[in-house]
Amino acid sequence: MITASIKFTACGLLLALFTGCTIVAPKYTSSPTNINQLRDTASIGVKIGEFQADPRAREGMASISLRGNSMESPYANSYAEYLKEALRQDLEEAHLLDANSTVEISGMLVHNEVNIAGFSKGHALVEARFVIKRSGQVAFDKVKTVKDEWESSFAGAIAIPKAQQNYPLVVQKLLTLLYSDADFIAALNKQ
Amino acid sequence: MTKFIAFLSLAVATLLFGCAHPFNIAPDLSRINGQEIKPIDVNVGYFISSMDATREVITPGGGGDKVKYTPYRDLEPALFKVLSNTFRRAYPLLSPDDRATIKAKNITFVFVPQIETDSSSDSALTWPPTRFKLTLTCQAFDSEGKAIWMKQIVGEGNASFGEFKSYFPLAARRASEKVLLELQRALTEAPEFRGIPRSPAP
Repeated sequence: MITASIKFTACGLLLALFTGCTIVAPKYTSSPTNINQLRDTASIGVKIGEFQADPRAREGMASISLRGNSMESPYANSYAEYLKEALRQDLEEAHLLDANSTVEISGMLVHNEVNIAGFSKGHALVEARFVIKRSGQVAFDKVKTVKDEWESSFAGAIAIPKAQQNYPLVVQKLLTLLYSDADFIAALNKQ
Repeated sequence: MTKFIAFLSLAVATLLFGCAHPFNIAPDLSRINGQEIKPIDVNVGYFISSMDATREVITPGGGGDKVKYTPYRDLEPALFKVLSNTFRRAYPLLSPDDRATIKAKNITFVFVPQIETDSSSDSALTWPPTRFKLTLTCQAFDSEGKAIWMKQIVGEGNASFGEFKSYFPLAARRASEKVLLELQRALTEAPEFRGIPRSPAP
């Protein structure tokens, strides 16, 4: 009986140590490549519209589960807001943000997943729909998807922070895909 | 029962101690502000080798643990921002003598950073460093490859548990912010980058 109690207490302590924590994803950082891509190709100021979470998405919109830890967005507890902030920062750094512009970019976060269940690799899949409207008329409407993979670990103390730090890089890659789309640039620059 | 406790102790020790915790030493970019600066009207390039960009560095944290980070990758966006604040445009180069990009982008100066770091902690119970030291040596070359400027900047950041519990790399963030803002000030004041003919826009 005593043995069982000790085992139960020890397991409880382990669980308390390793599960149930809430962590926050790192804030987004614009990449030089993305900023230069925008500065080299886009010439018209734009404003940012609404970014929403896909109502059909079951998870990953407010928090992402990393081995029992909940990773929340640093922007209004919403990963749709994270994407909006990422786009806003890139446009601002590229000197393309204009609150009075008639060109507006809005979006919807469709899928937002980080998976570190495996012991050797971590995976992420982020998918979003981007819409450009010029004076209210849709000029661009596409879904972009990025899949990423990195070295992970059996140890949660390694795997969880690594996944946490990779999240902004995954969003950077999603936006690289967007800025590299000739239709996106054409929709921005169209006279 | 003895075996179970031994296994449990080993598992806890493996999971909790001696780890190199992933870490990011980047500053808060919103604080690398260039609004007061009148940019120098030339384009510049910077070179970080692919080996440096992916190099992982491990330095001490607290409680016998360590922290692991990629200093060049972490600091590149801040370096880019400092150069973009100070000059008309900044471009990454494939080599210090990347003639194709230097020519295509009308690059007048090339910057090559060298980063050294160290960290420590006065806490035996928490792994994030309470002190972080960053040394940035930045050398500038003209478009012909002649060294024209060099600056070494050392910055230290400190953070106590009460401060870093919401952001573990806080001491590193403070150190890198100091160093990058000092670099920006030094570039702005250096006479070597002023008084040269304008290069045409690319």
